[in-house]
Amino acid sequence: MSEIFSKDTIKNMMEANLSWTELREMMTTTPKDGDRLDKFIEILQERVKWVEKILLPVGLHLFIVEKEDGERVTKCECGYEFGDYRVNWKLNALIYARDGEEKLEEIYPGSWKPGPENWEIREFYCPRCATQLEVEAVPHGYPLIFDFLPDLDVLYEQWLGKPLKRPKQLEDRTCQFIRDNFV
Amino acid sequence: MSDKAGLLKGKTLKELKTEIDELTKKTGYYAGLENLKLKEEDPSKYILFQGRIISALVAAREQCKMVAASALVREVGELLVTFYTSDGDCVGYSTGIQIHGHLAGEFIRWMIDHDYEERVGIRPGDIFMHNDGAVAAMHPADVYDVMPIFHEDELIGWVATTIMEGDIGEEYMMGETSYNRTTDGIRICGLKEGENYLLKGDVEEMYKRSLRNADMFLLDRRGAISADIKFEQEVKRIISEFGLGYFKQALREIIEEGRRIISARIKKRLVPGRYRSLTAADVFCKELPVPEYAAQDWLRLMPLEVTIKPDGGGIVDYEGIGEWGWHSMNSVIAGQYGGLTISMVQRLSYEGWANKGTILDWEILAPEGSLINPPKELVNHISLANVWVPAITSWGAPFQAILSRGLYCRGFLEEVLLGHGRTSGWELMGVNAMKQMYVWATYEIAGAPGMGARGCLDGENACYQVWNQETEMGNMEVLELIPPYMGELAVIPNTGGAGKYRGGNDVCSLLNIYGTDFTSIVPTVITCTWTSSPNSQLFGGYPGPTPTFFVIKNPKEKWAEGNIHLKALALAPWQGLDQMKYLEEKAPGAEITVIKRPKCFQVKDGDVAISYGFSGNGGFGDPIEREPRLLEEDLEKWSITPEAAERLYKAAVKHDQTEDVYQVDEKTTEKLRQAERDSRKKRGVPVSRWWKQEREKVLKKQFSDQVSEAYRSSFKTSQRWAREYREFWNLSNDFSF
Repeated sequence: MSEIFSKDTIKNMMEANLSWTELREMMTTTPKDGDRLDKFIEILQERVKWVEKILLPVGLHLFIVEKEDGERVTKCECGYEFGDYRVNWKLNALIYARDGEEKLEEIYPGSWKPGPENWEIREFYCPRCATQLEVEAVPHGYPLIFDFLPDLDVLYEQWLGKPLKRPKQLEDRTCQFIRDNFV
Repeated sequence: MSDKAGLLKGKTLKELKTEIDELTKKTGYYAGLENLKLKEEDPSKYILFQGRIISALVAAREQCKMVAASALVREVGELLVTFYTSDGDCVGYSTGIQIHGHLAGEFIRWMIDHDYEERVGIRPGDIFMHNDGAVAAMHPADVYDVMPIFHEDELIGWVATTIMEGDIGEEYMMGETSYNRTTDGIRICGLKEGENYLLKGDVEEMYKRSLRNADMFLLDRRGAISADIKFEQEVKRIISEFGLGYFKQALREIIEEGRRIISARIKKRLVPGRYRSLTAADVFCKELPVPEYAAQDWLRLMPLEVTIKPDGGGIVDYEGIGEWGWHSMNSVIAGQYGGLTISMVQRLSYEGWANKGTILDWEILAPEGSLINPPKELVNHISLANVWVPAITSWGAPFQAILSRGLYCRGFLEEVLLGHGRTSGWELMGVNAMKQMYVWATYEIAGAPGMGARGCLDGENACYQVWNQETEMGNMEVLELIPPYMGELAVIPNTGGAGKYRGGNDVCSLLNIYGTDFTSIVPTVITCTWTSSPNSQLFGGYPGPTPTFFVIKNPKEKWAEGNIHLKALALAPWQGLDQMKYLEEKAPGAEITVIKRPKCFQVKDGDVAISYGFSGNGGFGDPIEREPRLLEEDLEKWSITPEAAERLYKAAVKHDQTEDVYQVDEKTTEKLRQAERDSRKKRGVPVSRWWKQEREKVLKKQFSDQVSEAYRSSFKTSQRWAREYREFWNLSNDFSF
């Protein structure tokens, strides 16, 4: 049981063009289609203007892609590259920290806002297209959250049965990047 | 070998439990079942058998609702019926508060470990009562009535009915003011409260003399016992149809299949790897009526790291969570397994195959001495009145966002759902209009927060919470029979987190207090995210707003003559208006308090209490990508206000006053959105520069006392987390708070 939903149906879902009845059918159909990731990536690959192969979408506009030299980088739909996927991509983004009452007021007026004495809302923008890629709510002084470090080789080799050609060591390289570039 | 109790043929319960656990550990298959023999031989018969079990559980739950008395059972459906093997492994759930399925099993296993077979005796018709979070529970108000099931003289399983009670002898229902074991109300582990299918007379007297809502409590016990009996009868029918040998083997196979289903589904729908998020609890006790040692305000960080393993199992690691304390919001790790269970049942194993196998390949880790793993020598003595706090805080928002992240990455947008950050409302106790002592919580709003956004559509309004998938506000007219208030409800625009797809809006309430000279109320936020934003959002969406409560005492005219409008007061800040000024104008002469922390108030006939218990559910995607047509629908339905459309979504809103129609001018909107993108480039700074500035603040510890203390606490519980913190900010090894 797979290949239940066509590429068009998936595309329509991504563009919020399905009726509730159609969407509900997708929600309730079990088992899910086994080729969903292939079709999803195919649709996204057609949408982007660059050529690198998408290995995994990791956001509405963020992808882990394979470069010609085999390196895997996090890349925005607009083409901006955030570097090695094992480094928190936020380190190469623009940040706007709503870390005071006035800045929070724009989003959460009056009593609706988080306590500004303890909390801040961090917005992360793509330096090229200025899309707001992620938002995190943290106390002041909290390290940037590395939301997701996917195990791509296990995904492709063990779960999808299509091993990637140049496997990588899975390790969080964020702090190494900080030492090499920020200090 | 036991021949004293003779509950099993040829071995004790403890021996069986050990044998099954060891087989599972050794082979990786539940009870060593590499092959599902019954399923392979006759799949139809096997599926029929499993369906019979689940149907019997659901039927038992429905019967309980007919017998039980409390509004929480009848109106809100706060109950669950679950079935276990003789050694305490969960086989199946009814619908309802499924967080308890795993926990009641832990209690049965506790009885086995504590030699109940020989020391206490286990006979047909015995009822064991349990509600002690130190072993496994969510809070004392959730009472488990557990009954052994026999076939002739052999113990073949257990049934548990869980009911949330309105009163368990704590000051308030959710134990907001509790600070140690002595203020947790009745907290019992393994009391034989019934024999021969009847509640024991002495136990009934104890309940009667300890509780304010005793009549309801006792009828709920009868409802629970009737559910247990109903299920036992169904089991007898099932055995007569399938045979005892089949029955015993099938229970084990069902659990192993539950494990395989979740593992296969995770491999098919999620992505292996490491996911991280953060939540936190504002443990505010300074203004509660508690002793000096408990009267403090704390912030407790709860970093959440979830690893999806290659085998489809997972690890939930709370490394970095702050310390336990003298307040009601501690938990034990077993409570978090309950949270994991309900998350899995709702999101990945929702077709009746959830059981012990669902979480068998998962592990939850937390440092000793932390909020969810208090010191073993103290756990019986500290308050566990609100185990829900760390549970819903973790599983309601960030864990849902983590699962949603994985689902999105595999292309399953239709399964993305961003959960909710909190459940809020009032707790009340006092003497009601019928001159009876009562205890109550505003379940009509607690049961219905807005749903977080989904991957390709908005969250629904006022219909979702993580702790009961059959969410239900109940009939307000019936609910009002007990507490002394007439309630007003309203769905408040703008309360779902903003995003390309936004969170659903929350329902909020205004209580007109009547017929009471003595009522004490306290606002409650079940997650303790009073001032923080739970990380429920994804991909550029925002978390929802924080909750606020108002108390209006002694207005000149009773209930301010109904002049206070819930929506108008809620939305005043969006129009640049002061909420206090609004209330002073609408309720002249009244004593008005606005509060964002727990504090007890005395209220009486004519006063008003308002809860904006926003659920903090998250938005999905960048708000300025929301399509104008969706914004027009929002404005037509008053789901968001024109102010929010302009502020958060950068929409050019036109209002045709003659036709009362809203339009979003697409061209101007695109210009406004381009301006916002330009503005982001100007106000956003490269993280490299921001990091240097922030590092200076960290070095100087330029934070509030609460934040500094929270870091101190997390550093204390977790050396690993402290090391990672230092590494991120490139600090010396001896840096500490």
